[in-house]
Amino acid sequence: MSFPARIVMPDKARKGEIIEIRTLVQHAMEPGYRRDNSGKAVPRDIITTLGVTYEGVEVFRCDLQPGTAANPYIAFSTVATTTGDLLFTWTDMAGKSQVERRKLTVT
Amino acid sequence: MSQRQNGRAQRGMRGAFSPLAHPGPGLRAGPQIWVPRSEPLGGDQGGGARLSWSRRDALVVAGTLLAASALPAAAATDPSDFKAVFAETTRGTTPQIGRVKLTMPELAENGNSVSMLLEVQSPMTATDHVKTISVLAEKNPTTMIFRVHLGPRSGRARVATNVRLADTQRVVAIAEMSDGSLWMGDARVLVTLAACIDGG
Repeated sequence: MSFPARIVMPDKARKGEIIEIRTLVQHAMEPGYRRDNSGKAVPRDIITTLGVTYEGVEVFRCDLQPGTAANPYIAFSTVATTTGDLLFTWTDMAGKSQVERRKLTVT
Repeated sequence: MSQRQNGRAQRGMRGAFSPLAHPGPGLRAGPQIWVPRSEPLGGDQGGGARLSWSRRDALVVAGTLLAASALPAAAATDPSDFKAVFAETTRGTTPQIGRVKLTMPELAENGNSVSMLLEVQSPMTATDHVKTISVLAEKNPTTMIFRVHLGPRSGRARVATNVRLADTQRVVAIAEMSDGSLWMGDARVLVTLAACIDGG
C-alpha cells in the first residue's frame, strides 16, 4: 500500500448507464520547487499517471503534473457495459504503482 | 511617421486600460473568450510591430515557434514556456473558442488546492468524442497542469480535480476531438496565497 487510495463509485448500474467515479489517493505530490529549512531544494516526487481499465480495456487515463494538488482527487465517468472489474492504477515517477480493484455489477 | 506613432500609442493605452474590451477584430466578445494580457512589446520592431496584443496576435504567436522566439520576455514567470507548451498542445494551430467549459472559483484563497471542473460539449460516440483535454496555467512554473485522455467509453466529457496555481492568472483548457479539431475554454482565478513558489 504505497499510496492509500479511496474510490467512490456505485456497486451496481444498469447497462448503458453513465456512472461517476471519484478517486482520491494520498500523496504529497512534491512539485520540486520548494526548499526545506536548510535551503536545499526538495526533489520532485509526484504521481504521474492514473489509468483505469474496465475488463481489461482502458476507459480513462490522466497525466498528472506538479500542478496537480497534493492528494490528487480525480472524478470522471464511464459507461456501465458488462459486469466486471475496474482496475485503478496510480504510478509515480519512480515507477512504483498502486493498484485498486472494484467490481461493478451491471443489470 | 509621427501620425502612425501617435496611433500606436493610443492603441497601447487602450489596450493597457481595458484589455478585455478589445478582443480583436472579427471575434465575438463574451465571458468565455480567452484574451491574453495586453502587454506592450518592447522596442520598435519595424513598421509592423504593434504595441498591444490582440487575442489573434497571441494565438498566431503561440502557433509559430519562430515568432515566439523573436518576442521579448513578458512579465509572466516564464511566458516562452507557456507559448511553447501551448503551441505543442495545439500543434501550432489556433483552437476554436467554445464547447469547453472550465469551471474554477473566481477567488482562490489558497493556490495549493483549487477545484477545477472540466466539461466539453460532445456526444461522446465512437465517431464523435473528446480525445484529450489539456489544462495550461499561464504563470505556473510548469505550464501543463493536467491532461486527461477520454473516449466513447467515458459516456460524457466531464472531469473534476484539484490543481495548484502559482499566481493570479488565466487557466486555459484545450480539448482535442476525435476529428482532430481543437476547442478552447478558459477561467480567470484570483489567487490570494500562491502555491509552488516559496523559497524561490
